[in-house]
Amino acid sequence: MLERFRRSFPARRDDPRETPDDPRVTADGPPEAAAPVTVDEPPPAVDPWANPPAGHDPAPRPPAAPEPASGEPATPERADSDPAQAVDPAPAAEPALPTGPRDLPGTAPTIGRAAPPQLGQVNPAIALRPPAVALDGTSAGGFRVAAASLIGAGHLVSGQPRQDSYNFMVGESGRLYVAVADGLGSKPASQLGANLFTESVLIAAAQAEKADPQAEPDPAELLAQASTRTARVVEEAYRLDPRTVGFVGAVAVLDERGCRMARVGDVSAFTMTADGFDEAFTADEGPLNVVSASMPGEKPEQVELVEVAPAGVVAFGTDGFANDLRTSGALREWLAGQWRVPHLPFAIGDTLRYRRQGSHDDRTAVVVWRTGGDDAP
Amino acid sequence: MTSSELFTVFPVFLCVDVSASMAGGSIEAVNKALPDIQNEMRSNPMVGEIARVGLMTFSDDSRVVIPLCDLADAHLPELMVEGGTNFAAAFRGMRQAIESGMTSLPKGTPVYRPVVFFMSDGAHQAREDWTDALHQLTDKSWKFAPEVVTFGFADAQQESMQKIATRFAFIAKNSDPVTQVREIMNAIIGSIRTTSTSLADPAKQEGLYLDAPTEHFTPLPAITI
Repeated sequence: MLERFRRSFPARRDDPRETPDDPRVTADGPPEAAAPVTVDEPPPAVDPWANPPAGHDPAPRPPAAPEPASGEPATPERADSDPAQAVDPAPAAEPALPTGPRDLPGTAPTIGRAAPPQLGQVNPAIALRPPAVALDGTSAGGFRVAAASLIGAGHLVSGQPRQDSYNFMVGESGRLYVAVADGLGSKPASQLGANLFTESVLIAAAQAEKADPQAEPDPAELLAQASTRTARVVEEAYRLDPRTVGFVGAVAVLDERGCRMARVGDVSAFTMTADGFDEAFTADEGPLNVVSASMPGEKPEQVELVEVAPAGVVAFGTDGFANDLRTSGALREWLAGQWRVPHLPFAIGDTLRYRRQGSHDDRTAVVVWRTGGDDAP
Repeated sequence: MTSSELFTVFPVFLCVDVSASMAGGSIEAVNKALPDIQNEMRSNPMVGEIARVGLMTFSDDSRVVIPLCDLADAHLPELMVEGGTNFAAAFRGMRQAIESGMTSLPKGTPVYRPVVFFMSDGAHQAREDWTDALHQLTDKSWKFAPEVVTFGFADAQQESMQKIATRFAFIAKNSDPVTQVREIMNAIIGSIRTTSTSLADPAKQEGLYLDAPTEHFTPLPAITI
């Protein structure tokens, strides 16, 4: 039935992409871009019997304990109950279990000499812990939005929580509001600050729309209000010093006229072009671990503004993603191929599962597709 | 945006005193520990991906023994003791080593602030004043200005270690110089490891994760000069 349906109604080019298990992608999606990278690490451990590679005959599965016939007791009688009826004393072979941490195979490339996936740990007494992964893939008014935030290998290994955060909202006006934040590693509760900030941006946007639906929202004003609310909530609700939740962040407002964005720190935005990606902001050239500006408590002159004409695809990201995109031709080529079409949650998450030498930070990307107009991808 | 691959680098420089007072067990302990640093690069992929190490020695003058490189692939020479102790020569040589090492990286390479681990067992002996050379090394207007972490042991002067350090200064507690050197090298390896891996939020870590346990070291407040 499914096959007949698909033959009758061929998938549109912009059908949302899901992970390769989804037959829509395999059958109808655009050809996969070849990953121009060397794969120099073994793939993640998978159960070879549960998921054998195509064309490969796995080793015979070790014998499992014999299944009891229907109606027979599941466990043998005790041998000492009737010596004449004693069962074979040889122990039944136990089913083999997969070794090592198990994950799903991904399609994202390995670039350079990258460490294998890490099991990670959780440090004791970290109460303010967001989940290690957040995913979204949905329509939002006149936009499609897919977003993923993945904990970095460094945080996994050191037992720290993911410190990136994102959120988005479509207003009654049809505008799309996107917030992205990245907690400062040197601040003990920065994950709280990042999460409160993205939440506060949407609250500020909703209030602004309610107050005057026709007014042009100012992303810098939304950012300032969100920063102020974050500091207040941290103090009043969590009884923490706002200096302990430092973060960098950005606010974007998208409508039919394009995208206006305000940021403090190195969260960035990229538009997809025929040649790949263009960065909306000017990238910092200083050392990566020297923070130029952060929130809360930012100064007005530290807020950077940028305006981007309507683009088919815009990606907002924290530096863990932005640095890789800037410095990896292989990644840009691969993502440009992938992100031509809207994604569903697991597919967008899979695109950020690339492994890259020296890339250990949390990664967050919010990708927005326009679903109408001539500039649609 | 570059079309090539530029991988993030955490530059680490070791600045080791090889004056005559290091003769015997102390220099042997340093030589014995260098392969341990190399093994860390080889055995811990998250460290090996990102940390690049340079080694410089100083006595009357300075010498770049290993330029900034992937230590996993480097040949490790045996360090030999030399003459007196000239901190000014050490700082001048270190600035040159950093400049040379950082500019040898492909243009546009994302880097963390360089870190210098400075270890000495004695006092500055040369006539020239060393503070000017230190200021040149740590001048914040220089784009490669490093974080300097000092480890003093044996006859090292506490105040000098405090002045040389940008933020973190330590004096080894144990009275045996060989044990002191061993603990310092362990602390350096631990700090490279912890910083390289925790750096994962490297991007926002304004500084270092130092692994200098208080049972072996006395932390000292840095003194600005």
